[in-house]
Amino acid sequence: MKRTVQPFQIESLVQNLRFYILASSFLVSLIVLAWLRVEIPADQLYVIRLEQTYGLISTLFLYSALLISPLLLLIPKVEARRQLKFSRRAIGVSAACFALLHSAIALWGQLGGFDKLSFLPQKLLWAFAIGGVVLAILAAMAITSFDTVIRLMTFRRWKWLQRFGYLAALLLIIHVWLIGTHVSYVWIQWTAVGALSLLFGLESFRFAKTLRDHYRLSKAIAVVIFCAVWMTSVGAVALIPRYLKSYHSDQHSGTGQIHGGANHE
Amino acid sequence: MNRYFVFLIAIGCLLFVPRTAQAHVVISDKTGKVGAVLHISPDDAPAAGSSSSIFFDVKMSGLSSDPHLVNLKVTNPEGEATFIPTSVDGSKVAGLYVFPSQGVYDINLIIDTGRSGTDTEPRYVSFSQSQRVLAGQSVSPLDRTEYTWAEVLLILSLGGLAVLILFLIAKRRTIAAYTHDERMGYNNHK
Repeated sequence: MKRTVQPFQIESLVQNLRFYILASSFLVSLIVLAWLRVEIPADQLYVIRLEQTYGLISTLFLYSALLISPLLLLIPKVEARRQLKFSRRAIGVSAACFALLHSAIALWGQLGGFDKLSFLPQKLLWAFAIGGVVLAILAAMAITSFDTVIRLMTFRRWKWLQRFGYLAALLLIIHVWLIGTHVSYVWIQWTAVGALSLLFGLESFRFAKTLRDHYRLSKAIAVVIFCAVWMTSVGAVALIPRYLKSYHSDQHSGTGQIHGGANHE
Repeated sequence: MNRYFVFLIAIGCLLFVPRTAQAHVVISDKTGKVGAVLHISPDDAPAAGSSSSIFFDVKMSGLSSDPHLVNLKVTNPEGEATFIPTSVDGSKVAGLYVFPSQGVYDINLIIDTGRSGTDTEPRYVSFSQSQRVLAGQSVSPLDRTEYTWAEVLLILSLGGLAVLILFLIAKRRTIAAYTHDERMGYNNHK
């Protein structure tokens, strides 16, 4: 069954679920831009909050895009499954757009351009470089998300490219841990662990189910595989802070000599 | 299932300790040759009347090993300056300060490296940054800056989002009919 390419029509646009996701993402970016400006009069703090909020939204979109694949196995309604799967591409593009906004504001708004990168400490530079790789992956996935490009690439190669989304997610966790300012809050750490455990649990379930279907494994073996993969992946992420110190924890670990005193001039 | 929760809680307890959030700003000294990352906690938005930590991470290779003199000064909106006791660890300088009231404060860090300077690493380095303190005591409504463009944009964007949601609800049947499996139409090109 082959779909014929139709010329661009407004009528087909308003029937397309992806249009609603992309249009609402655009409007949300404007709402954040305006709402933060109204709420935060200090320019410096406004730029910081804008950069942080766009980064958070991008992370949420990427998380949602990754969650869809394993979630499809658990949704019984065919119609809901079809719509969820169809919307995934627009969610990924939204993640890339917000990542681009986040990076642009961080680079030109917060830092003041490429030349200021030389003023950054080594750890922050690494965090920036990892963020750059994540942005490149998301941008590549967004650029190749058009039907015409997929036809040119072939579906199999396009699908192969989509696997890089998992690499982007892994690098994003490291980027956020290294440089993220709010990850030092315990409730945010627990929320992140909970969200990642859910994603890893669903992915482990999908992995165990695929193995069971392919190799005709018994239910008990599939359960063992599921538990092993899930616990290993959650454990690996939970151990990141053990082996990778965030920039902010580094900052407060030093106990240097005391200088000066509180005097009025 | 309980096993997993115990496992997660155990790992979480081992690894995570409570801290406060900080954000960072990159600044350069008066010559523009030396840079530093400035942190003001909590979260770059100090509250009047509460203790804030001011943190400089200076990018200067010699500082980590050489002894050097450091002065951290905060000047309030009335022009009164206060020197803050600092804790120095190599290129990192930290100080605690309570901003007494809302307003714009000047934060100055002056470092004397104690050795003859070079073109890229001068003997005296001076950083200056303005910090607006908004939280804490209430601010006069006359002091608030109004951003008309932002208010208009906010109303228009929220209106646009509402229209979009209404359209989505109204067109839900045609949207469901239009939604197709993305694999269709591409398989022939495998």
